[in-house]
Amino acid sequence: MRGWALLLVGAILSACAPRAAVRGRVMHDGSPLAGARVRLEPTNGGAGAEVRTGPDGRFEAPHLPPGPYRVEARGPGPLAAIPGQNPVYLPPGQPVWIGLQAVPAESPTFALLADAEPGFGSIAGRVLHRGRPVEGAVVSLYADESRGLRGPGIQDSFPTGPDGAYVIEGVLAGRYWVVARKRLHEGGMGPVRKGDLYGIAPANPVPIRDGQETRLDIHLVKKERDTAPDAGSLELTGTGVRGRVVDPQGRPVAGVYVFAYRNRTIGHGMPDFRTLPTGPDGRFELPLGEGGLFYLGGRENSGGSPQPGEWFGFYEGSPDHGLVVPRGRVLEGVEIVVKRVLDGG
Amino acid sequence: MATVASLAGVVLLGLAARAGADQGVRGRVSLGGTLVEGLVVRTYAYRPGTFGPWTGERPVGEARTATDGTYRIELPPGRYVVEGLAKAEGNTGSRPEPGDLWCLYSGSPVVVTAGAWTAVGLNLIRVPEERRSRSERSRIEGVITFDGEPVEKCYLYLYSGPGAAFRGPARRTVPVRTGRFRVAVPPGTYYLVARKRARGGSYGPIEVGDRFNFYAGNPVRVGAGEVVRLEMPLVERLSQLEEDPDAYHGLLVMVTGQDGQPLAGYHVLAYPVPTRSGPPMAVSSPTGPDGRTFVPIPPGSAAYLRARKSLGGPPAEGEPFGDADVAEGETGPVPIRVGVAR
Repeated sequence: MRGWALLLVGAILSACAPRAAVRGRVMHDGSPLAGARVRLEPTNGGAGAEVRTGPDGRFEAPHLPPGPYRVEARGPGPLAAIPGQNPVYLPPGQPVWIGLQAVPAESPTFALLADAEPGFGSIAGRVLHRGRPVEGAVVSLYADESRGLRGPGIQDSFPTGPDGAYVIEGVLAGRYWVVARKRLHEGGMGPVRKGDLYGIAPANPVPIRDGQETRLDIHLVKKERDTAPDAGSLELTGTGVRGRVVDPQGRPVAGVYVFAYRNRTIGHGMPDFRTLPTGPDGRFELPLGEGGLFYLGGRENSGGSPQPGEWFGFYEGSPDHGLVVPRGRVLEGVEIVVKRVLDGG
Repeated sequence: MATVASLAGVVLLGLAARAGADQGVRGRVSLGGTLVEGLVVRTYAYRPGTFGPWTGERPVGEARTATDGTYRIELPPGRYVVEGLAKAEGNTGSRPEPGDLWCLYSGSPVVVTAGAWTAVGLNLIRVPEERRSRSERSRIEGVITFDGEPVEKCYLYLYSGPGAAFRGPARRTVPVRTGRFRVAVPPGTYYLVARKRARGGSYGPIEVGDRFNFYAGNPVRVGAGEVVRLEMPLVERLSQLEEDPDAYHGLLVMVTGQDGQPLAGYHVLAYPVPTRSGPPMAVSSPTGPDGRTFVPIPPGSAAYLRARKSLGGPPAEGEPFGDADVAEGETGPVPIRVGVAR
């Protein structure tokens, strides 16, 4: 009897536990795509969910346990839609909107190479947007998707020419996640922004075989809006930092993004968390996942070493720029003071 | 008459410059440890976007190495690209040809400040052959070597131009696992640089013990459907400053605690980036009881300093350290106050 009571209490508690939900739409070439299977796979384990889009391309998945989910849509037929950011964080409360754009789900083909170095192969193909070649796109190969396919690949192509053709030679045989991007802004680095084109190959991970060339076309979609990296993560775990980026005179600085590294060696590789660039008020909101000790700073550009004249600064609330943020807490009023980087000539 | 007057003027100016010059570059030139006599060292004034002979600059200083491999070129204060070249018998071109001995100093541009001599040692290679053929794709391929053997796990960098003296991101960075590489490239002009850092990784300044070189045939022009096959011999970066009692010792730094009292036993590391990550450009010997030490960086150069007792890796938990920024042209002494890491 007591056991039954406990089970009942558990069931009631479970039913009352805050739930997450997803709403969204899958489009293909500007039209809603009906009958696509949208799969939501929790990256923390547990059962996933699959829903189908209706005639208006819309889908809805209510009553999900909050958490990070890997999202993709397949079908109908040889179509697939992979969002630019995976996982998607689903906090409890208001449904999260996910817009997906479907592209042809190309499968790789293979051709023998005449004179490849043993153990190495290559990958080549075309980068397309709505069936047309894309000039100026860069194709990147990643060894895994654990870091969200961000930053430079372990090998990158040169920008495509007018025919959209790309080739990466001398690639160690293995499986790679293939991503193509065409950025509109100068520098060609940093996160994909509104108006940029990007494409994550639905065939990922793509094999590159010893002595062979993998042939794979990559279809791009247009980034429709700027989304904060790790959007929803702060609400999901209730962990992060809010504050302002200011110059040494205390005036707010716009256009600076705030970054957080778990590793004390700040600047090696991609930050673990980062914000969108600050607005005129210099304010930022930085999600920090499960919390812990982070080393914080802010800078103006993305990728590479800070350049002369660039806004750059660390969190100076501790000598090593570190800040402990416990899970479930949002620290308010954190200030990052930035200065122009010296000209090292 | 006018010509005689002009010549006299030139001579007088030259004498005046000589009398007033008390700075420049000097050092030794060697090929695999053997000092090389009679090699021509040339210096080129540097400004951003140029890089000496590769961008058509004219030399502003020239000297031949003496029997002991040393040279000395007086120069006005400024920044310079330094190149050494000894032509092989039968070679007559002005640029490096197969068989020539050559080095373009990896630390170029070097800084010369008034009244100080900047030590620049040149580590030569013998220039290898370059071959060209036709193919469907334009390509640069070849091998990166050290002492004649392929270099594993290094990086090849392809730049479109000198930019900031080949510092910062390249147009393309190619990981080279076995020493051999093959890169499909759009037709165009490329500057090749190869680096193998002892600590690994594809970025950060070259430090003592790392292997490095520019390609002697820079810039490499690749036509449509052209394959360029080449070899890039690396050299090892030796100590940045040679033993020379009269040489510039570096930037004077004074390390103190929060109370202003001098601290002994602190190294001062100079970084090119404000993150103070990656290998430092230079590391000082420990501070003495007066808290003083010299950081061996070129005079007047900008740097991000960090004072700490241990070397290698980021400061440990509880380890005291202190930072200071040095602007270009700043000559010190630079005070650094030390605090405690978490």
